Formats: sequence, structure tokens, C-alpha cells
Amino acid sequence: MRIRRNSSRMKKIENDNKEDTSSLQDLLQELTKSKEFTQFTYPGRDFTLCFGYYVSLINLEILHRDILPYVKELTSIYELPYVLPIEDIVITSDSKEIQNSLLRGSIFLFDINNLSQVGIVKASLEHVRQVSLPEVEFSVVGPKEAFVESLDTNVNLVRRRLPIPELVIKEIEVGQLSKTRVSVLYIDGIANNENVNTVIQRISDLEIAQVNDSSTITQLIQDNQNSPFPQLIDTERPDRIASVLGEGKIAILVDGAPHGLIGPTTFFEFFSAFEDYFLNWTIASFFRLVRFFAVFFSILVTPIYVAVLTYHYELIPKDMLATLITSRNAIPLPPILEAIILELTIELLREAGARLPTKVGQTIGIVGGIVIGTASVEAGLTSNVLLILVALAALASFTTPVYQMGNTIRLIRFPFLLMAHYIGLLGVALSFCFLLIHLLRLSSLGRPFLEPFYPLRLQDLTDSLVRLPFSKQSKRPILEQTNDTVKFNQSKAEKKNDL
Amino acid sequence: MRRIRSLLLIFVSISYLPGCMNIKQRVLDDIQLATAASYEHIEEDTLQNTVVFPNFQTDKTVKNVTLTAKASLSKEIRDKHSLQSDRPIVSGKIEVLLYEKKTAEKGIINLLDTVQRDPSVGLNVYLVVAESNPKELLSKQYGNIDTGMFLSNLIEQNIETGLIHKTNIHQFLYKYYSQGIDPMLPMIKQKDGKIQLHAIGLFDNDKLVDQIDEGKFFFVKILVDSKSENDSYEVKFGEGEKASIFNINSKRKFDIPKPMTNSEITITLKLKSSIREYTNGKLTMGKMKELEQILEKDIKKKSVELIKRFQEKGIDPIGIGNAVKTKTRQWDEKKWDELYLSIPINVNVSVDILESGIIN
Amino acid sequence: MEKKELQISPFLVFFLIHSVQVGVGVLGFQRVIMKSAGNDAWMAVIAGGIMVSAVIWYMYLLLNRHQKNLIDIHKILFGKWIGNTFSFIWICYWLLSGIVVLRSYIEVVEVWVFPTINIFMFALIFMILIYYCVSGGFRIVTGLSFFGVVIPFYIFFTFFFPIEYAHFQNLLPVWNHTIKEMSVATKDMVLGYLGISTLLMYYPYIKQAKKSQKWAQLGHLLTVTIYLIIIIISIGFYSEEQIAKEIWATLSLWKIVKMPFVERFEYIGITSWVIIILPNICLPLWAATKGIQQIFNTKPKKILIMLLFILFCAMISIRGRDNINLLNEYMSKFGIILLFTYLPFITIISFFVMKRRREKLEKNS
Repeated sequence: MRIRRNSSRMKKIENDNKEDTSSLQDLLQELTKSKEFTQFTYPGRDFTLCFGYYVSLINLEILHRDILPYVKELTSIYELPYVLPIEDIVITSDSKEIQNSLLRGSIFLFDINNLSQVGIVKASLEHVRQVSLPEVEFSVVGPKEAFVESLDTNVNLVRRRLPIPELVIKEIEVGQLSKTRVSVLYIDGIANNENVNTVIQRISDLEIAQVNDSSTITQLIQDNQNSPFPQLIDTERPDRIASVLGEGKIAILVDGAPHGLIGPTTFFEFFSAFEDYFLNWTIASFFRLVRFFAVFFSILVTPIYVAVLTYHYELIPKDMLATLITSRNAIPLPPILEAIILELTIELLREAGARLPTKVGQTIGIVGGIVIGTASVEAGLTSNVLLILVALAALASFTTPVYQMGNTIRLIRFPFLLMAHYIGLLGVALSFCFLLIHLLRLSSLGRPFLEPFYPLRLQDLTDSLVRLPFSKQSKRPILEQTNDTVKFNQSKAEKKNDL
Repeated sequence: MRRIRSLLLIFVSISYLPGCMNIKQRVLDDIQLATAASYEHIEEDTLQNTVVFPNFQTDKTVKNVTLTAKASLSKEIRDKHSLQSDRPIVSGKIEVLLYEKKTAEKGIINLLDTVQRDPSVGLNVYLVVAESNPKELLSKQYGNIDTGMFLSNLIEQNIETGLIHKTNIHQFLYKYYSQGIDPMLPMIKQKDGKIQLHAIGLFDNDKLVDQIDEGKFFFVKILVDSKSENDSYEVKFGEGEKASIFNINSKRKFDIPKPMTNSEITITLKLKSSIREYTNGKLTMGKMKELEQILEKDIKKKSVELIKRFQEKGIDPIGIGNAVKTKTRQWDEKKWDELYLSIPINVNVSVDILESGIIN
Repeated sequence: MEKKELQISPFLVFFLIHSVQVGVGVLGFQRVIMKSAGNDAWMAVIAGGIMVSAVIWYMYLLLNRHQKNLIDIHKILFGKWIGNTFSFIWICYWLLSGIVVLRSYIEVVEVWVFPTINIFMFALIFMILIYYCVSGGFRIVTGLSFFGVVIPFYIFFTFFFPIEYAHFQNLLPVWNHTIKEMSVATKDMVLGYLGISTLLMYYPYIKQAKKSQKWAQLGHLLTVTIYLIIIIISIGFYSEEQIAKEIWATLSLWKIVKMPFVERFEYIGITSWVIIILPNICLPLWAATKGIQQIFNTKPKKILIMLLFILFCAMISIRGRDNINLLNEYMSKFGIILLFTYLPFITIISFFVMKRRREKLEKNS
């Protein structure tokens, strides 16, 4: 409504003014190709102003409330910053900069007789989601803020938790088309300079058209891009980022992505939920151990079942024989097919649940799980023992706190399964060796991935498989090679000042 | 690019594995798991072998199935069994090996060779001597499991409750190959349609020569096992007085003052027991002391008798020779065998009654 | 000395030494040493341990003096041509030890688990694994050694199951054998400890290498302890005649293991042994690769592929117990000559050569 009124009131200018610099002319020509680009003249006190902007990108309320009423008083373009009640105003003649600002939601205005000086006023319209609950890393206790798609909001969330000048935020633009702003966050004086330089270097060197999410950045800058293992943690929790920044890690925030990235990290850190830090250390350590057990269980249980049933019947104790044999009695398929069918069923259920709207997805998950499970047992396609094992393995794989790692664990089960079918338990062992060597060869921003086990660093072990009390973690992880290794004074921390 | 190519290479080679690995699959439900096998000489050179395997029914019951074949080599028998079976028979789950008594008397070590050589047979297999026809014994089903499992459970249970000594194929072979000790095996028979573990067979090397009936299992156990527990023994004394004692633990010690000479060897038995049953009135402290002495005398008498019997047969299941060997450098087995027949062996028993149950 | 980023901390020498000593030998060393030493075999284990400990000591003596690896030491002492020839002998030894370990392991798999297994394919999988490990460089090989000791350590607890059936009076009477018999057994036992010679190649990769001898000796001590525990349990578990028939007595020990969820532990043992023998092959192969690379100055990946090809050909061409035994025998003689004759010899030579050079230098100045 308002747009139409504006355009009817104001006469559109024509592009026949040939006196001025060709670059601005070219630019205007280029811009008017797009229908949403609006241009009009507006009579000022001493001269006629020309306005231009992308209707879709700017907040028209700002235009009408904060700009138009004031420009009537304008005697020169240079007065703009003093006249308008808006902070972000630039006067320039660089057509490149004008174009960039326009595309980021600015209005430009100039004297139609003087094309060399153009004022750019920021009036961008931003649809920002409200900061809401974390979905992937939800925790019952602790802060409940999660990142949103706006980089500025996200930076705000982190900075609020680290009100120190040493928190440095470097911004890099990535993507020829998407022009995504990528911020690298680190604490100067703590973070290792080499790590910082590596990250900045790798991001600046990126050659890519569009960056859609932070996961794009992960995949592009991690050390081994062919590995199914993620080498940077992604998190949606600003508190987690603030906390690891204090340990000397580096965080990456990407505009338009509700997940930040953390590095350098280790394999074991992927299994620590941030909630662990909100619980007593005994409980948190127990949960972590359970999670590690779950990982091994999830990867190994079906392959071992297949291997034992296909080749190593000797291993089964005599009391268990009857259970296993009767459960498989009427099943015509070999164990491997049985296992693959079930595993694929679970994957299908998961995939279907993920693609469908939440409510339908849940129903699919539950109904599908129960119905398909029971039906396939009754139909004699799978044995009930295996059904239990596969379901447990799937459940175990969901305990991984970092979603990306959970996916990896579900994937690597399949090569194990095939090898178990080919050479029994030896296949499982060989696959395990392969996995081990692969993990040994991986690194996260040049730091060993299997730290603190290899290389063995006892100090870092306090927060890996288990989480020891905070007072024992007075030093920053050796992994980060920080400039300032001491977090706080341990003897002071242990001294109790109780009355 | 090169890395991707090498990954591809790995992937391709792995996907070719199933055809090339050339491993025979033995899917659990596609094989016949033999749980017991019996050996019986029917003629001088021919062996009759019966195998038992469970047939798991879909309604979760188990049917006992047996196959019998005759041949001269035991592996050859397996082929003959195979000709009668719808699924390949595997020996990895054999729990019990049964030898007919006459066969055992001829020696069983040759029959054990194939079992020792086969990596799929474990060491927890029980060797048993059957006094009745093993084929009949095995083909009957006792309870709702197959006979192999039944026999295995029967022996396992009795070892655990302490009625018979610890036994399995490993211990048989250990004693067979050791110098100065002879193996023993449990003996079973079919009686009124039930299986009964009724005796312990004594072996001279691998040949069955004698047997001890169930009443004397207690002595065999406390003499053979250097540390024994859980056995029970019943003693009668006076006029109709009876007491049953339960051996909490016993220790056996050899006292060999002069090894490899004709000097006396003393076996010291120390028993710590509790009373399980006592039929004559109140059990006082004095009675307990008296009981201890009676027990000591009784156990001593019967142990010495038993050892005499061993010496007469020239067998040494207790391992006295083995004990002498540990005290002798350059042990001469032949010389010992001669000595053993006549060496005086004394038994010292001390019984200590610690508890008398939950009533006084 | 190598670049600092490539170096490993000295305590990892513990795992490098230990992992390369414990291999297929542990599965069946009892028969060989008990043949001559009988129930006194445990003394041979200790005696062999002490001898090998001395070897480690003079290896460090040599290396500490030069601060270089064996190839460079050879060049310094004997000049380029003769030195390289000697180096080449060592490289052959390392390659051969890789062959022996892998072939013996495959034999165990053939006999115990899969009699009909296609060695061609099975060896190929191993080749891929070894390539993936060794091409990652020394840090990865060390990592594998570390995990090759730590992860399968649970296996050693299962050796306590057979104790239930062990008759430890078999250890008596102590010292029942002649010195001659004992020395034969000690010689046979020393074979179980071989493999430490790779230290000659990775020495420059150790941070504060001089201080790492403590860790090397401790790693060796762990090996001795494990051998000792196994031999004592075996002496108690088997009778002498029985063990003479057991080619893989350690594996047979596991046959008695019975747990509520698993029986017949030998299958799990053999399976877990993969991760124990993998560093055992990778480390000598790495040493051989490094050696050739230094002599011929070629790309390590090409050398590795060539070595793996030789390894692979050896795997598929050596068949049968007898041949494997023969190979084992040659290998052990080779190893004993190198470690107990050649190494002391070179240590002494190095002492005199360096002394004379130093004197010359002093005279010149």
C-alpha cells in the first residue's frame, strides 16, 4: 500500500543524465534490471534528492520515520550523518561499496546534480528468529539459549558471556554468490596463534559459491575432508562456545547458521555433552562412560552377532544355544541379510521420521518400530534376539551428544557388518584396526584427534572419558597449546574459606 | 584425487571378498551341534559311534536325536554320520564323550587323538565311562533337553556340589601325560530308565582297571584334590548313632621324608567340617570331641584301605608318585613304579568340627 | 635428530619396545623352551630377559654416542659403500621379521579358525592395513603400538582362568636341569624377545632420547613379566609330556575359559591378536622403509609399496608347517647373530673409531 502511494507521489527519474561518472550510471542501469529496485526523486530545500533501494531489503518504516522528514532540511549530502537519527551512514563514491550496501539493506541517496557523492543509510529489514530453546543439545539444567540465524545476535550471545576486550572477532566474507559473513572468535592471549592463523587462512582461502550453513564450512576446512568423522564440533549453545573459548579453542560463527563450530577438538570431546558440566562430576563421569560404552556397543554388537552366528558357534555357551537357535529356527535368511534388513529398517524409520513434520514423524517412529519389528519377527524374516540387539544398538547410537558424530557411528557399523560376514570375528577385528589407524591419522586443525590417549596427556584426561571436579581442572588442555596455560590458581581454588 | 582412488580400490577389493575368502560358513541353525558322542568297540577293529544332538523345535522344546555308525577310524565315522544327517554335523559343542566300559578297559587314548587334534573341541568336555550300552543310554531323552546336555549338566552339577572330583578332558590328559599320577573318570549307568552316576573309574594310564562305588566318593575326593570342599560324609558308630558331616574345606599334604626310598610316606588330611545331621539326642561339647575322634579314626581306616587297594592294582590316582617327583631331581619313573607297590603309606587325619548347624 | 614435530615423547618407547616383542611367539613359546628346560623353563625366561636387557643397554650405548640412526652410523664407521651394505642386511632382517610374524599369524588363523581361508585375500587385507598405517609415518606407527598394547591388555587377565586347574607343585624341584639344557632354553627364549632392533632406526625420533632407556627397559620388563606369568601358568596347567604336543600352548590355555556369556576364549584371543601383531609388522616395515629411503633417497611410499609386494608374495608362496618353521629358524639365527654378535662388535668399533677421530681433531687443533 505504502509503496504504491510513494511511487504515485514521486516521479521516477530517468537514466538520461549523462554528465556524471559512468560507474554510477552503469550501476544504476544494472540495478534497475531488478523489478524490486525502487528509485525516486524527492525535492529537498536546495536541491533534488534521488533515492534508491531494494524494497524487499529495507525497512520502510525507517525510511518514512527517520529519513524522509529530515532530508528536507538538508543543504548538502555531507550533512547527512548529522541530520538523520541513524548511526550507520556512509558517504562514498565507490560504486562497489554502494552496491554491496544496497544488497545488505541500505538506502542510497544523492543530489541528482552531483553524482560523485552518495550517502548510504542503513535501513535494513531483518527477520530475526527469537532466541529460543536448544533443540539438539537441550539440557534440563543450565542455560536454555540457542543460537539463531543472525550472526549479530549470535555474537551478542557469546560476548555477553565473555565481557573482556581480549575476545577478538575476525570477520571474513565467504562465497562469491552468498557473500556470507563468517566470524572467527578467539581470546587473544589464550588461543594459540598458530591455530588462529590456520583457521583464518583456511577460511579466507575458501573458493565456493554459496555457504548455506556452518556445516559447509566444517566440511571445507577440516583436515581430512574424506573422513566420515567430523573434526570440528558443531554446537547450538552459546554457553558451550563461551566456555571452550576460555579453554583456548577457536569458534567459528556463520551468518545464517544457528550452529557454531569449535576447534581444535578431539574424538573424545564429541561424546561430552555440555550438560556434563552442570552435573556433579561423579554423575557426569558415569554418564560419559555410559556414552562411550554405547558407542562401542552400537558399532560392535550386530557385527559380533553376525560373526558368531555365521562362523563361531563354539563361542556360545551351552545355556544360550537354545535361545539363539530357537529364535532363528524358522528364518530362511543368513544372519547377514537378517541384520542388514533390520539395520536398514531402523535407518528408514529414522530417515522418514526426520523428513516428516515432527508430530507425524514421531508417530512413524513408534508405530513403524513396533509394527515392523513384531511383524518381521512373526513373518520369520528376523529373529527376535537380533531385533533386540539392533534396537539397542540404534538407541545407543542416539546417545552421542553431537549429532554429526551420531551419524558417523551409524554409518561405520555397515563396513563392520560386511567384514563380519566375510571373515567372522577376524573381520570385526580388522575393521577395528582400520578404524583405529584412521582415527590415529586424523587431526583437528593439526592437533592429534585421539588426544589425550595418544599422545597420552594425563592432564587432559581429567576431562575426557570422565569429568573430574572443576578444581582439578585448573589448567587449560595441552591440546590447544595455549599461550596462557593456567586457568586459575588451583591451590586457591581448593582452599575453603568457610567460616 | 589419489586418495579417492585408493579408497575406491579398497572398497572394490572389499566387495570382492565374499567370493574370494573361501571360508565355509557354519550358520548356527544350519548345522547339527553334536553334544555328546559315545565310542564302543563292537569287534576287534570296528568302532561303533553314536552321536547325540538336540533338535530344537519351534515350540521351544528340544528333541533328542541320535545317529549311529560303524567304522574303524573315528573321523571316518563322522562321514558316515553325515550320510544320515540333513545338516552337517559339527563337533565344536561336544560336551560329553562316552566310552563303553569294555572299550575303556582296552584303552581310550587312541580314541582321544582326533579330539585333541580338533581345534573346535574345547577342554571343558567331560569324559565318562558307561557301564550300560551307550547307544541305548544316549537315545533315550531324560527331561526336556537332549541327552548330551543332560549328561553334561549332571556331571557339572555333581562337581559343583562336591560329590565327585573335578574332571574334564584336560584333567584326564594332564594326568595321563604326567608321571606318577593316574587319571580317573566318572562312570554312569542306566537304571530304571534313569541315568545314575554310580562309580568312579580308576585308570592305569588310559585303561580302566578298577572302580570305586558311590559310598566312597568322599575319600577319593579328599585324597585326590589337594584342596577340597563341599563334600559330605556319613559316619555310623555305637548303637545306631549316626552323624552326617559336611566338609567345609579339607587340605591334603604329603609328607615324604626320604623320597625314592622305601621309607614311610605320610598323607596328612585336615578337615574343617560342620555337622549336618545327628541322630542321637543332644550334641554336647564332649560329644563333639568324641565325634571328631571317631571320624578321624574312621576316615583314616578307610583311606588306608583305599590306598592299599590302589597299590595292589599298581595305580596312583592320588598322585603320590607326582609328589615324590617334586622332591626328586632326575626322577626315574620305572624305579618308582616298582617301589610304589610296596611302599608303606600312612594317613593322618585331623577333623575339626566348627559348626553344628543352626540348632544346638 | 628429527624435526621436533615428528618426535615422540620418551615414555612411548615403553610401548614401542613392548609391542614389538609380544607377537605370535607368545602363543606357543612354551613347547620350545620346555623341551630342554622342563619345569625350570621360567628361569630361562628370566635369563633370556636379562640378556636382552643387556642388548638394549649396548644399543643405547651406541646410539647415545652417535645420536643418529643405524644407517648413518654405518656410513660414519664404514664409509658409504660398505656401510650401506651392512645397512642393507639389517633392512632384509626387518623385512624378514615382518614376513615371519604375519605368516605365523596367518598359520594360526588357518589351523584354529578358518582352515580353508584364502590366504591371497586375507593377506591383501593386511597389506592394505599395513600400508595405511606405515604411510602415515612414524607417529601413526607409534600410536598403533600404543593402542596395540593398551587395548588388548584385557586378554592377559584371561590367563588367570586356567589357574583353577593348575598344579603349581610342577614347578618343583627347582633347578632340575643341567646348565647346558638351561642355556639352550635361554637361547630359545631370547627369540621371544627379539624385534627390539627397530630401536636403531627410531632413536632419532625420540625426544630426550638419552633418557628414554629407562622406558625401554621397563617395556622390556613388562614383556618378561607377561612371558613369566604365562610360562608359570603353563607349567602348572600342563604336564611336560602334554606340552610337548601343544604347538600353541597359550591358545590351548584359553580353551578352558568359560564365562557366562562366552566360552572358548581362544577364538576371541586369536581375533584380538590382530591388533597385537599389527604394530609388530608395521614397525619393522617402517624401519625397512626408512632405511631404504635413506640409502637410495627415493619416495617412501614407493618403497613401502615395493616392500609390501615382497611381503605379499612371501605370504602366498610360503605354505605348510615345515616351511614356516624353517623360516622361523633362519630368522631366529639371523636375529641372534645380528643382536648378540654384530651389535657388540659395532659398538666396540664405534668406540675406537670415535676415539681416534677425536684424538685427530685434538691434534689438528
